[in-house]
Amino acid sequence: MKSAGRREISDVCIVGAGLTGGLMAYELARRGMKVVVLEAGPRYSLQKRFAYMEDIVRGRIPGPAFGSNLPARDVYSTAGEVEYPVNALRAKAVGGSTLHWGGQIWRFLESDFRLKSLYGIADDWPIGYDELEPYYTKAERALGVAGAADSPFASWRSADYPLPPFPFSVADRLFQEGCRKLGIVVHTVPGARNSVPYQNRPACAAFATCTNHRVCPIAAQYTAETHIDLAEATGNARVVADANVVRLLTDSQKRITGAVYMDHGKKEAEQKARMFVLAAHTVETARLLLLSESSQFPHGLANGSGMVGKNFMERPSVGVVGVHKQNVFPHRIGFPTAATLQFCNPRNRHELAGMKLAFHTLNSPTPYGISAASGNWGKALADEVRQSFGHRISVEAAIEQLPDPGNTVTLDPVLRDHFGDPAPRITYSFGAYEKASLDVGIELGRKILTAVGVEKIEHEVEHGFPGHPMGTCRMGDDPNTSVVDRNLQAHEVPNLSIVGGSVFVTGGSLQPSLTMAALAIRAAEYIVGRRLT
Amino acid sequence: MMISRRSFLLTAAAVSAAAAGAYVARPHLVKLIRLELDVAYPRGVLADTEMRSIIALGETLAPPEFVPPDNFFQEHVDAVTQSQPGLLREYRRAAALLNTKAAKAYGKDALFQDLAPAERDKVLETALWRYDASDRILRKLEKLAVSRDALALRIYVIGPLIEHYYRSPYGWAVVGYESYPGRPPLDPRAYTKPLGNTDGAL
Repeated sequence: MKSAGRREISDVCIVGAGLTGGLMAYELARRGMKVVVLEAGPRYSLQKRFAYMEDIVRGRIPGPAFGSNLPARDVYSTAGEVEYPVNALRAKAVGGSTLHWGGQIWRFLESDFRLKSLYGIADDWPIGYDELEPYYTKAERALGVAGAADSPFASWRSADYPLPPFPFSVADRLFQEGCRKLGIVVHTVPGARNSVPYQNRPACAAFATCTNHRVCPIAAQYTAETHIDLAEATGNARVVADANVVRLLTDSQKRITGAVYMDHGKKEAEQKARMFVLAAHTVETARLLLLSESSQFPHGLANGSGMVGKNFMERPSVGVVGVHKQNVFPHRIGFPTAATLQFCNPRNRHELAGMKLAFHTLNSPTPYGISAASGNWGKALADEVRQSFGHRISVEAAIEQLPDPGNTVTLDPVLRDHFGDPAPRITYSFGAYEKASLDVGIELGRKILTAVGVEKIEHEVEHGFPGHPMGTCRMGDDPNTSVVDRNLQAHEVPNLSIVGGSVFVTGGSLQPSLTMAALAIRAAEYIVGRRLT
Repeated sequence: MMISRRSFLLTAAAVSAAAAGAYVARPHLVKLIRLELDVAYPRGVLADTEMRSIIALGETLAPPEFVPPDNFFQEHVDAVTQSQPGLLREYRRAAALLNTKAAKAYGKDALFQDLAPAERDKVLETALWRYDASDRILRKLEKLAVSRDALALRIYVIGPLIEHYYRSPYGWAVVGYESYPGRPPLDPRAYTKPLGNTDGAL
């Protein structure tokens, strides 16, 4: 039974309060549109963030930070050759996955938008880097990106980064020297964290908890809570947490009329709006469209092309871990300060994926990590901790995965979630292109570690995922092969826009967050423009 | 159905071997089953004498140059025995085991907390094995070789006390860190230099 609830019709209803949902909410609300944001997860208190960090760091509550508050809601199944761990890589809450992200935020390369034209593989995007560049600049300013234009492999930019970069750590200077011997250029890493105070948030104080413990206690690292708060401050936006959207309702004109949502107690309500924006994560956006089937949309909403849920992509990565004779003093900063884009656009990209190399000490064991595995105590244990601590370094290669219609998000025929709806099923495999490229990544990692001077290669990490799901609602000019157009409006549903990684045509080898943010700001301007006309 | 003499003998041998294996493994299986926490046991705090034994254990686990004050372990133990079902019973068993072993080694009136550090060390060695993190085989063998209460001491008491210690300022001090994850340095750019070296040279 639907609750009486609040029955106002908003201008825009946004599903999801993460990176793109937060930006959309602010961009629309500040221009006078009435916005309601429906977020499935809870709203964590920023005022309690420091205490939360303490609990995580001291092991008083189990990690990962911002894990699911309703596991029965977040069930999923997997199929295919590779198991994709959805829940470990997302946060369902106001702020979305920016609550626990690493904060690295890169522009895509110009070539990333033109794989078909340049290399004869995959597809081109309907828009290019030049068209998106002004929005990259806007997104960098909105999020507060600290960086330097010191990579010779990056694409052109019309403005400097808004904040100065973080200098190299001790370990990253070692990497820089080792890579120089191999002709590899190492440069700084742009991050959505304040190197100096910016937009009422303090500078990073080096709590060193952002990547390993996934929480910044002082909000020096950007989270989408910033733009949610800004949106609310306009007086035009309202956020409803614990609002799990289960269906989108449509009328005879193929327009969405309402979003039906439930709280964790299964109390149902409906939010009406003139326009709807899906910003609900690559998996959940596709799932919600598939769940919203009707007589007019028998295969799922906006799915006349059959492309909803298709071409699921990630940035699979491999790693090589070595032991260096020198103490590199890890865990004094919470993020990597150096990387290289030198291999992001190889000349033979038709057969070898672009790959971004990152350098890490964050996986170097901590004193308690070493002690937990030991059977010693007292002085013997302290000696063992001292001897083992601080010497482990690694190279990570994250590659571009090509879109494959066989990699999908579908509705599981058996498994049901907390609300009785089919759970998402992720069918996922690597193709020959990805497998060969991951092997090259391992080889490169070994070469670099050797050049850096490690005493031994300790082990290799076969594959991992940084948590950047993309695809499932790709954009394109042809309604037969895509779900949304170049402005991110659904081809078949005139009042539906989709933002987030789901609209990506190809994935690139760089973190997708800035491209998601730039596209969201651009889509917001389009929605405002439509309203004015 | 007819079976051959050979099949019969092979089957009989396999059944006998399985039965013998189960008989040999039985004490270990029973031990592992009994290792489960008794969650019905009431929560609460240790008696003073028990707590003194556990604090003495904590001091034995820490390196002599970085022994924390008494309340460091006491506050932690009070918190977990009051909040986590079954742990109070395991801490009581741990104190009892340590004192039993102490009495066996140093006379019936000896209490673990009254022993000298080297003597406490020896008492612990009568209950548990020592091995480095790289000794995975020894870690597995210890589970089969030691008593139920000694294994519980390792898993429910020593492991968490060591974790509590090495997550704390005392544990980070062991590797020379005054600031560490959750406790930032005065200079946010300190990470660019090696510790103990102010000129930034590697």
